[in-house]
Amino acid sequence: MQKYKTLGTLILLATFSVLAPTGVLAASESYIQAVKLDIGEFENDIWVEPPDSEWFPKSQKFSAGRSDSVASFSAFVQDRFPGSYLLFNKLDDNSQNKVWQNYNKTGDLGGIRSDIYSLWKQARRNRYKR
Amino acid sequence: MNLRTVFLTTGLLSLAYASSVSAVDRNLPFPEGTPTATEIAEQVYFANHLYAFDNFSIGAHKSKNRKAVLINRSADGTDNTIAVERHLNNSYDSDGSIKARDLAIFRSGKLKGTGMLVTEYDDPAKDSSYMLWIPSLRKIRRFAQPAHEDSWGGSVFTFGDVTLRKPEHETHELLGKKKMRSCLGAIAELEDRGFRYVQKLPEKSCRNIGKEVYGLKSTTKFPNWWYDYRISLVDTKTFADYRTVYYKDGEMIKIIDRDWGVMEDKLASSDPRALFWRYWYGVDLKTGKESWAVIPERIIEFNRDVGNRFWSERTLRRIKR
Repeated sequence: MQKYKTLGTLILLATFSVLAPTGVLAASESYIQAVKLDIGEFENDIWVEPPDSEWFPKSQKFSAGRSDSVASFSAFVQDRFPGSYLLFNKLDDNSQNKVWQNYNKTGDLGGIRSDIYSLWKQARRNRYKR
Repeated sequence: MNLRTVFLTTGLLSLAYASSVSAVDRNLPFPEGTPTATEIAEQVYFANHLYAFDNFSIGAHKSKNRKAVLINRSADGTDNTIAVERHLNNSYDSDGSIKARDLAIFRSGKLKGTGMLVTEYDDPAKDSSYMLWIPSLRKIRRFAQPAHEDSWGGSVFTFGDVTLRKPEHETHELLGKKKMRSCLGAIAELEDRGFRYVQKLPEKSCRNIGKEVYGLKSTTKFPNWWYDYRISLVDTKTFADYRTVYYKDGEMIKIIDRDWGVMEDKLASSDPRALFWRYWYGVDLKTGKESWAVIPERIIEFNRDVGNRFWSERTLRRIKR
């Protein structure tokens, strides 16, 4: 008798799970997670590489935003802005780190070049002062 | 015909229409330097109301596969589709009483042949006028402005989302700048599929990826409102708002994504805000309902040589069922 009771409960549960509205499952969970990650970047400042997802296309791998260190950022600058890289290379560690952090914060590609140039100019001015 | 249903379903018609008068108008200049949060909200309003164009038409040429389509999918997977044609006119003299007019015509379903003409006035104290052509009665009916929270075309978009909400209805705060990382949403099962009225539905858009965006937090001034605040990702160059996420009691409750296209024309180079929508996608995270409004680029025309007379009761009366 107990066996039939359990079986009946299982059938009822199965029927319920089939008939129940899908609710929030209509939009994929991966999409909602992607939106949360994207918006969350404003709070976290630094972009954390998400797990493999169709919502983050592979082309982003070449983006500086995914650099996890000044060294990888430096490689990106060399590849993307070879001219500015010459100046970037002359900056001290602090300044290089500043350019990277600024980019992480703003996501502004154009800002990389202007930051490098202004920091390089500032460094040169300081050198003359001494 | 249920007039309330007809009226609510006319949302798509007024897709970019400011049904109430706003401080933002066609003369709003493109900002120089870094804009404030409120200035960004005003620029977003400008882009969304297509103020960069004299006139803007969706599906002006009569063809069964040249319409915009709004697909509403309920949580149980049932779809409801509406095909629409729309014509917006911003070209009225500044000394006249009319600011803009928007004409929209349903081309499918039970509402086939229904037309709506919305008139916005220069006088900030004057409400917009809504005229609806009801084909079964062969009469025009006038309506008051809908409520902000009313559903737009039976979709997850509200009238506030698409037309009525103005920058001064919220307080704005700039969260910063960053690159946009993720693709825009779409109804997964319908992506890249053949579909009536539009021939083929698009794939989800990833063209926004890598674009530099402002994070704009907008907190509503309305008491006991359906959301507490929303965060929009706004293009720093064009003020296209790619994504808006709504929050209530700290929980994400709704997402709206907009895929924007750029006019390949002199106009685009003169004003970066001369944009158009390719699609809107929305999902209500409480109900699971999804909506997708798709506007194929090939059916968009702008700054056509059409007289203001076209935006009149006369055109409404001439709509064929």
